[in-house]
Amino acid sequence: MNKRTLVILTVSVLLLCIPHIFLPPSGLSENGWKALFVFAVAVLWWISGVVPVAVTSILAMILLPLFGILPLRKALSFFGNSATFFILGVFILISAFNRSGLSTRIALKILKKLGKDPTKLALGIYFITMFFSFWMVAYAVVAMIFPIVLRILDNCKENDGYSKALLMALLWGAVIGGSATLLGGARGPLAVAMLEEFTGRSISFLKWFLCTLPVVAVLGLIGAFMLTLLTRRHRVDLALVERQLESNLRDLGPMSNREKLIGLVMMGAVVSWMVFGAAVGIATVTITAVVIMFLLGLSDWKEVEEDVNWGVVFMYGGAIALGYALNSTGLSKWLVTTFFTGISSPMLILLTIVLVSLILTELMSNSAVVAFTLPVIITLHGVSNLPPEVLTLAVVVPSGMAMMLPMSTPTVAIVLSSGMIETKDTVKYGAVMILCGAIVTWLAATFYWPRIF
Amino acid sequence: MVLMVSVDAKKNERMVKSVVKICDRVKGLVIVDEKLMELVADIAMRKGWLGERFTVDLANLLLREYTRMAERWVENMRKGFEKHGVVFEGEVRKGNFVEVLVDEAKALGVSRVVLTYKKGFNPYWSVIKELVPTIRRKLEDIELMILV
Repeated sequence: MNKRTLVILTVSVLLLCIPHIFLPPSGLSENGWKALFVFAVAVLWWISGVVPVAVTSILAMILLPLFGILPLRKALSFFGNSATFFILGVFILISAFNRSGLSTRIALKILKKLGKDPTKLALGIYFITMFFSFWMVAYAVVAMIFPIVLRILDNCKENDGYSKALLMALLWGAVIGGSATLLGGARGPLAVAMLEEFTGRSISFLKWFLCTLPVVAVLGLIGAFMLTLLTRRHRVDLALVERQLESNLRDLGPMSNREKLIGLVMMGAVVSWMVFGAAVGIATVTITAVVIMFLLGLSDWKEVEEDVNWGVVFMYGGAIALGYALNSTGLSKWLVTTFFTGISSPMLILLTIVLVSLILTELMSNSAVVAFTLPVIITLHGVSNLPPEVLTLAVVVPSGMAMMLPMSTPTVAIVLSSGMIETKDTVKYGAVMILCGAIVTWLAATFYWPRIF
Repeated sequence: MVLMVSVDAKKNERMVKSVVKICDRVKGLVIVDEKLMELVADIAMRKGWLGERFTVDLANLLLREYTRMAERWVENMRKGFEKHGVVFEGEVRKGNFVEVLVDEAKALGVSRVVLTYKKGFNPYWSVIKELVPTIRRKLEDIELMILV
C-alpha cells in the first residue's frame, strides 16, 4: 500500500466515523446523514481512483446495509437492474462485431475512397469513428480504428502536425459520436436506470437519439471545420497509404457469411431498439440479439469472456444503490435545498449542470460523474419544474465530452499513449470543442429538449 | 561517460543540453520491455469496460510503435549530441527494463545513469517510476539522475 492510498483510507475511515459522533443538521434524517458520508467516501474513491470504479461501487453496496441505510436484500437487488443487462448485451454484440472484421472492413473501404487527399482522409477517420460510436461503445471504436490510423501514419512521410490532426480526428469523432445513442458508453444506460429508479419515468432509445442528434450534428460540423483548418496546410504524400489500405483490404479477403449475418443482426437490433425499445425494453431487445448471435454461431463464449469486463455489473449495481439511498433518505433533497437556494432560473440551473458535468468529466471517469451527480440533479425537478429527463440529459451529454485529459475515458488515454500527441495538444484544441459543446448542449437543454418531454 | 536511458523514447532538446553539461560521451539506451508495455496499455484502458483482449491488442500495437519510436530517438539524439560535439552511441534493446539497465550500467562502468522522460500524461513513466527504488538499489554506487 503506498502513502497516497494510506492517506485516502485514513480520511475515509474518519469520514465514516463522523455520522456516529455528530448529530445530523436540521432538516436531514439520521439515515440521510449517514448516507452523506458513505457518498462522500465513494466520491473520494471515484475521484482519486484509489481502486477501480467497480470496487468503489462494491464498497458503497456493502456500506449501505452496514450503516443501516438500506436492507442488504434491497442493496443487492440493484445488480439485477435492466440497464446492467442492456450494457452487458451491448458489449457482447460489440465483441462479435469486432471479431468478425466487419467493422474494420467498412472503415478500410471508406478510407480507401478518401485516402487520396490529406483533409478528406482526416475527415474520413473523423466521420467513420463518429458513425461507429453511434452504435458501439466509443472507446471500443477507438481501439478498433487506432491501429488503422497508426498504420496510416507509418506510411505518411514524417509529418508531426498531420499525425496530430489524424489522432484528433479519431478522438473527436469518438467523443462526439459517443453521445448520440445509449450505445456510445456506459453512462447513458446508467443514467436512464437511475431516472427510472428515482422517478418511474424513462427515456426511450428513439427519444434519446432525437434529443442528442442536433447536438451531435452541430458539434460534428464544428469539429469537421476545425479539422479542415488543421489539415489543409499540410502537404502529405499519401501514395503509400493508398497502397497500404488496398493491401489491408486484400488481406481481409471476400466478405464472409459471419460478417454478413452479424451485419444483419446488428441492423435488426438497431431498428428494434428504435421501434420496440419503449414497449418491450431495450435490455430485452439486446439480450434477444445476443441469443440470436449464439444460435447462429456468430458469437463464441470464450471470445466474450476475453472481450467483456464484467466489472461493469458491479459498477452499475453499486452506483444505482447509492443513488437510491441518496433519494430515499432525503439526502438529495437536502443537498438541493441547501446548495441551490437562490437559483430558480431554469436556464441558470441548466447552465450550472452543464458546466459542472463538463469540468468533472475531465477529472474522473464519465460514468462516475453520472453516478454521483445525477441522484442530486434529478431532485432539482422539484424546485425548477424542469422535466427530470431534461436534467438527466443535461448531466449525461456533457459528461461524455471529455476531450482533453486522460483521466476520464480510455478514448483520450489511448490516443495519448501513441506518443505522437501530447496532453497540451488535446487541451489546446479540446478546449475550443468543449466550449462549443457547452454552448450547444445548454441551448438544446434550454430550448429543444423540454419540447420533447 | 553517462548512460542515458529514455523511458518514453521522446526527444527533448532540454535533456540534451542538460546531459552535455555533465559529460563528453553518452551511451543512449531505449529498453523495449513487453511486460511494461502491457502495464502501459492497462493504464490507457483502465477507465473503460472492455475486456482483457483489447488491452493485449493495444499492448502489442504500442510495442511495435515504441520500437519504431525508439529507433527514431536514437537517430535524433545522435544528431542532437553531435551538434554539441558530444560522442553519442545509441542502442535499442529488448528485455527486462531493470535488468538491462543495471547490466548495461555495470558493464560500461559509468558513474551516472540518467533516466529521461517527458512531462504530462506519460503512462510509460507512470509504470517506470514504481521501479525507481529497485533500480537505485541494484545500481549500488552508481548515481541515478532523473531528467524531465
